[in-house]
Amino acid sequence: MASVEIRDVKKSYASLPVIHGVSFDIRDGEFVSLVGPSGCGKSTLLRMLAGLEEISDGAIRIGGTVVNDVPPKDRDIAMVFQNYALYPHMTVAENMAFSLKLKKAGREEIGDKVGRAARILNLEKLLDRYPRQLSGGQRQRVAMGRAIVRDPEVFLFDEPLSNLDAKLRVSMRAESKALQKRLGTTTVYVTHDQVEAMTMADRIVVMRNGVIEQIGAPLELYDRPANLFVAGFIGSPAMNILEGRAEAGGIRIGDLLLPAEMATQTLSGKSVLYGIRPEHVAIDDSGAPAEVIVTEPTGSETQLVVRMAGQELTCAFRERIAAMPGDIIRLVFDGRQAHLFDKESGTRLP
Amino acid sequence: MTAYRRLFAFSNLSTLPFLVLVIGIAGYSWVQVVVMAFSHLRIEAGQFVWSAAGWDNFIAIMNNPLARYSIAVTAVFVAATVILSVAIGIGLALLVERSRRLARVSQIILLWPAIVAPVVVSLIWLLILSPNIGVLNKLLETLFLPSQDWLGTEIGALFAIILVDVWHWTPVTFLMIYTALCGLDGEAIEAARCDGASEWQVIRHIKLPMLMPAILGTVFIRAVMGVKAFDEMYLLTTGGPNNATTLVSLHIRDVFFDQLNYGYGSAFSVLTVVLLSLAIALVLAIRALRRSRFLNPMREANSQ
Ligand SMILES: Nc1ncnc2c1ncn2[C@@H]1O[C@H](COP(=O)(O)OP(=O)(O)OP(=O)(O)O)[C@@H](O)[C@H]1O
Ligand SMILES: [Mg+2]
Repeated sequence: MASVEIRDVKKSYASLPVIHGVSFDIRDGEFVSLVGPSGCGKSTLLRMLAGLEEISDGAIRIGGTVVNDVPPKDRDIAMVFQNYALYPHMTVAENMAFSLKLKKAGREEIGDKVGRAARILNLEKLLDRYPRQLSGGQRQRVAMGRAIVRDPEVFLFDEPLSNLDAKLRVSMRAESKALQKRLGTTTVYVTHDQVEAMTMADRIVVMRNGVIEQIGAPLELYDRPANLFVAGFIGSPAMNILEGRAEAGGIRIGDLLLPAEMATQTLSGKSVLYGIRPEHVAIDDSGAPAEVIVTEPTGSETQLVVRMAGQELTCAFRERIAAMPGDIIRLVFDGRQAHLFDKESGTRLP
Repeated sequence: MTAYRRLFAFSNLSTLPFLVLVIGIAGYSWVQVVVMAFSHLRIEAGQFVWSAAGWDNFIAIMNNPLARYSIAVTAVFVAATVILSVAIGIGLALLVERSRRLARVSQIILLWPAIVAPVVVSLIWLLILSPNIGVLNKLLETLFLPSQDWLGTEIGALFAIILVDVWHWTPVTFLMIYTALCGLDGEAIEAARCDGASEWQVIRHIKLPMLMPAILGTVFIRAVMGVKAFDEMYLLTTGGPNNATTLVSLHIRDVFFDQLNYGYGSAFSVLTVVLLSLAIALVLAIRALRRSRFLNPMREANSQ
């Protein structure tokens, strides 16, 4: 186990920069999730951590030593690839034993560790199979097994659950998380599924276009997104963003005055973006009128798309709402849960 | 009958014309050769005269020292050329793959020998190996090493035809293996690096095993090419000196076209194919055995 420090790391392919100076630290034993839209550089950053990709500029330290020029084999990291990358000519047992054999571990030790990993991952019956004889979920578990027999300094996961069906994904999510806590191994986990990141990680790093947008604990990102991008990325359905103008006592949108705790005197008169999550809107007779456009009952909650003061927004209610498109309902916003963003820069106010 | 089964029956049926064609072309000539192998054949008044020969032709081969010798020469030739050209092909492929920048250029340069016609190859090598004006001897002289009459001694001539064949066909093995190498799962190779494998261990434990199907295919093709090898040897040594380079193909040519012994020639062709098939079957059997757990103690240890 080890801490990881990433300092001003940059990466260019030929002359095309894809990572523009990224810095953050990962504490010993911490589970950090790397999220962001496709192409933002998550895999590239992970591969630089693994040593599979050269670092164009900056430094990466693992356990205090700079590893920029250390080849992957000497970094003591275990990586789980998006497509599993199992060795096709080896059985499940041989796949998991490979790293131990390279380390010249004894036969007994190999049997022990592989047996233990197989038990944890429920692979005992599959040890003699070849990868091509396994289902996606089983391959995924073998890839995990190959990582945990290593007992490495750092685990690196690149979207390991993306090929699984929804149910298996949820159970593997819980299992992986529990396993990581039990082993206490520092982990970097790349995903573009924000639910996965929210549920598994101690801290989340949100990236976009090769820069970090925000770093924080899952609920921190949810409660206080640093900018519009994070606000839209974390939380599902996404936060509603309405254009308005700050006044004393609230935000004016059309002829409505929406409550907002932080709408202070200093902001008064400024054009702002008002963010409210769908779950922070409630139906109340004292509220402002809104026209229902779409109703989406999901079973556990009801989602409505409504038009209010000329702008569309999504609301989610725990209870069932028997509203039809065209109906007028009255909505109130929870002012303590509202977010304000600067209209030009998109950064959080204040 | 379900729709699926009907479709299946149709798909079988629809390949029938093709099968008939293949069997008609390949099968007919084969049957002809096999029949000839078990016949005495003479030409009288421009006509073939057939008479049944039983195993006579095969017994004649067994009793002919030159025939046995040619089989031995061919075995040595095939083994040497297959091993050398495949090994060098693998080596080159791994090297070229490492330096992506050189890949394109080297592919073109390396492919060059394979494009040259056999006659030209023979001519080039006759010049290189010539005792008096040859480049090779000039080179040896400048290194103060004794020059050799390469094509004049038995060992030298055998060595020379192996060298020429390897030079001529290694590009093909290189290309086949290089293509397979480029198609390997790059992530599996990276996973091995993360698992702690050095470059050599990656080659030994990941790349080579993953390349095995391509390597085996190349070995088979090269073995068949080796058994069929004819033109360069014929032009370089004509089987000499002292029959040291009389490959099976050269021997068959002699009996077929010089001695007009058709039955014997056909029998030898059949024998060659049978021997080659046996050799290939042996390789496959060894491979299958090595895969089974009995001969693989490592797997035993891991599967507890
Ligand atoms: N070998 C390469 N050569 C050139 N550009 C590359 C290369 N690999 C990645 N890129 C570019 O770098 C950027 C980041 O790629 P990366 O694979 O890290 O994205 P990602 O965040 O992992 O996306 P995804 O979620 O789709 O996996 C992309 O714009 C991609 O086009
Ligand atoms: Mg990726």
